[in-house]
Amino acid sequence: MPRFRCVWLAAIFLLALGVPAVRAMPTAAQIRAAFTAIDTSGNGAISLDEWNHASFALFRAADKNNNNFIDADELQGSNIAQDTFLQADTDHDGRLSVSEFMELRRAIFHLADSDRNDSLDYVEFELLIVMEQVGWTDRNHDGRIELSELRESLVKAFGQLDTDHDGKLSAVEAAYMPAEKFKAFDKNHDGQLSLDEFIAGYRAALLGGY
Amino acid sequence: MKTRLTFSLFAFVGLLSASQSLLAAAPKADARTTALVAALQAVSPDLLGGRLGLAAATAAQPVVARGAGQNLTTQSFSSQLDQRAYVLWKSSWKS
Repeated sequence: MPRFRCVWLAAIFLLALGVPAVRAMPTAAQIRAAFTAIDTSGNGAISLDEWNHASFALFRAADKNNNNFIDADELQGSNIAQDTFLQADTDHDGRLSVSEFMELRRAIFHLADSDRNDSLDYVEFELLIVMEQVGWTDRNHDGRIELSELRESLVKAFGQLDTDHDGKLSAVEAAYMPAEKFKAFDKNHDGQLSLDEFIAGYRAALLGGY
Repeated sequence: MKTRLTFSLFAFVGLLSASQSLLAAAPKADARTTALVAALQAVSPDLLGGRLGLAAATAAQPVVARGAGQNLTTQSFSSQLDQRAYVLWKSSWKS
């Protein structure tokens, strides 16, 4: 019984610390809506300029007291957000200026821009959303997501999405993905994605078609 | 006298309709920004980019820490550009 109580206390302690729970992935419709909202020119790609404008809107929304800084108490989020805040606050004044925030937002843009054409197509944007959940390790320290590094993150993403742990992704488990992409990735047409199909599908999509 | 009164009335109506359209434009821009923020927050609730943002911020650190001479000048210039662009964006958003 005391051991049971200890487990509960530990769980409450971890929750109080803000240990992030695994967040459900957004749906394909939500990702498409966000992509369309940023891509104001409607050309099917997010330019750096469009990304900057969307980032300004996020900054403005977070800056509740409108003093052109995101103060620590204006930042709501997990302990990951708190850690990022500390890293992005390069002058260590305990708040993020517009330029500190934009430096971070541009770094995210360039990371996701794997073909280095200074714009994000839908696949790159979708992967950006996936990477926000599972993370990424810059093995070669070039500030870009390379295909070899992508594999590591996709394996993590697959594990997170495979909620019934059967080693396959159903259409429901991969609901963040547009139906036509799911079909295109599903090479053996069994209505499910294996890890190999998942990774190969993204590799092909990033290289310009699947 | 009657002509002047008619002219004044037309001018008043013209000004009124112009101010109405200006007043209507602000909430429209406001609504667009609110919709954009809501759409972004639905897919990415952490405005600092979640784990990817943390990786990006951590990866950027050594470059910033190096920060000697020219690097600091470039950073300061880029910082001013960002602030100016943000102020411009805010003013266009309000109008």
